[in-house]
Amino acid sequence: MRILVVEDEARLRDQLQAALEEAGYVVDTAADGQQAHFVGSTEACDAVVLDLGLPQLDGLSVLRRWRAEGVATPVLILTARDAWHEKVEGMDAGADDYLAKPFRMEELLARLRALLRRASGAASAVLEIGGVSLDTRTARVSLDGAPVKLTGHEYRVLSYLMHHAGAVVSRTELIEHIYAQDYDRDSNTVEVFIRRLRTKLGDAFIVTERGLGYRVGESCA
Amino acid sequence: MRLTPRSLQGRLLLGAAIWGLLALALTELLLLYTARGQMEAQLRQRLSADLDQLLAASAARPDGGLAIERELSDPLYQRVFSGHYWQVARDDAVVARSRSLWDQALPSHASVGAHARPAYLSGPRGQSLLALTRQVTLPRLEGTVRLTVASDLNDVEASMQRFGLVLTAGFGALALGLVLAAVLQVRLGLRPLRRLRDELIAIRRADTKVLAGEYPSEVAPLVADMNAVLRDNQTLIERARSRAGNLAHALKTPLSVLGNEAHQQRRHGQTALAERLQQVTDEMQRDIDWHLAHARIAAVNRPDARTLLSPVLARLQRTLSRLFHEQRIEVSPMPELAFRGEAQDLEQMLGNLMENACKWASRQVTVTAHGQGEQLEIVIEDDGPGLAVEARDNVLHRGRRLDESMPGSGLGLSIVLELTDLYGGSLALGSSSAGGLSARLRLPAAG
Repeated sequence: MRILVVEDEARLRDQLQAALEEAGYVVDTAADGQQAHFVGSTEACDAVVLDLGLPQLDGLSVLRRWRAEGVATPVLILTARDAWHEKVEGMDAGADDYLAKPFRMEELLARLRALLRRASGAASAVLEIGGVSLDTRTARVSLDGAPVKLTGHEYRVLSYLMHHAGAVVSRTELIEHIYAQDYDRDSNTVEVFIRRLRTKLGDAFIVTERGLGYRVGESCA
Repeated sequence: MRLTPRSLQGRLLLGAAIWGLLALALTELLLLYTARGQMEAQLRQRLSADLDQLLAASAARPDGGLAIERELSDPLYQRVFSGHYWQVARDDAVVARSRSLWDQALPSHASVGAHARPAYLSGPRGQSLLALTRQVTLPRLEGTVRLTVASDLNDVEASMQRFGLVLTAGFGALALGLVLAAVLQVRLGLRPLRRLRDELIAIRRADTKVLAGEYPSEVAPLVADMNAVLRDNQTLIERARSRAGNLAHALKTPLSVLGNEAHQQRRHGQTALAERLQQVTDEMQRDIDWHLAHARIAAVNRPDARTLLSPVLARLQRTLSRLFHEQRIEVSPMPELAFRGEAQDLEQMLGNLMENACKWASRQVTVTAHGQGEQLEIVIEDDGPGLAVEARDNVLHRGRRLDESMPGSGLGLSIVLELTDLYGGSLALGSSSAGGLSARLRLPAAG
């Protein structure tokens, strides 16, 4: 899953990036409103952590622009402004959650998980499909109760597929969601990750839809 | 010693009175002087006419003596000591006199001639007389003859006294009227100042921000300047307030960094350091939140402040429903109910209470409200675990230092309590029909 972190304070941005990456997410960052708007509009992010007080273009304007352009990515506002009228304004601009600074990183991670889960329609923090269970809180995967060790990239591919269980996910879409914007992308590596995952979780778990992409779980089409 | 009174009204009145009385007194003196001159002139004319008559009546007797052939027409010359006298002297010897003089003689004096100025003499019985004397030669009479006519000035004095009395009475009434008029005028003239004061009181009570009334052109510049000062003040306050807010907000991001650092340190085994860091950042956060929340309090005493309940609740319901997806928030319709106070204060109270309810509810939060005369009662209920009676009291009395893990405790509630106090309302906690907590907020209603 790919998260866009928009924060103009460099240290906090670094902390957020580190914590999110540690939790198994791919992280893009933006330090100002213009850049944030561009990345959010052009890249396939799964969620955005958005600061409001930004240089060049303030967070609320960025959010309103996204919503006006049809960008539906879940947005969590992370701001020092926590008066009620500010919360109301933020949520009315199209945010999905609102967290006031200072915050606990655990709380931010929990809220993000909930956001992503809601976006994918899952009800529980633990995704379970065909004996494979993925705990979004701990980034741990098990097969029939036995823990399975995955690398970061493998976890991201699996997590994305399981968040979109039943849907066919194209290779391009996978790449977009497991790599950050400035990463050197190579579509062949996806196949490598899929192969490794099949070795660890069984061949039948990830289905290849020829010419379209990959799918886990029963097809919903 | 102060000679000028302290009040503007006193000064204006004193000025008007001094000037008015001086002018009136001078006018009276001038009038009296003129009137006296006029009366004396009349008297002189009469004396002159009588002198002519006397001259016409005088004739030389064949024996070389002098005869007054006719009595003067004015009968007063016949009555003894009537105050009207004539006499004729020849070489300083009185040869004829009016019957009124009886055996007395008028003192002789130097002012003699056809156009001589009248002389003031003292006559019989100490009367003060005005006398005209003419020195003539009569045909067939040797030497010169001095004819003198005199009249008592008493009549003039009496008239003057009467006139002076009438004049003084009249002018006195006029002065009284003028002073009254001045009082009225000063009152009327100073009325804008009183209005200015009323408006300033309103500003101090925070009913209004600037002086709005129309003022006369003399006061208008003062009002304009005062408004400028007030506006500058307002800007200053707002700037200071927004600076304080910005500072508090600016501190929150570095605080986040510190908190995260503490978290990181704990994971690296630096538990003691992390603990201390966390404690300090928590404390700072509480202080910042507390002061920010207080800075946000807009309150109060604006008598015309009126906030409709429904729109505020609708906004909060909309926002909280999105923040707490699992909770159903029901707000009973309450058209027309209004709170006598500022919208942002109401939002803070209801927002905090409803957020608390959302945190602890298992599925449902209900908000109902009704008016009770001068009061509004808003009840926020949840179906969560609720609070034991002792715990409720604790929550209400210990305010912000309370353990944040308890429902309805912490900073949010202490701000609600402070705001209800400021508005003369109250907050009571109880148990809801669904077994959870109910918060009963009483606030002043606006008509």
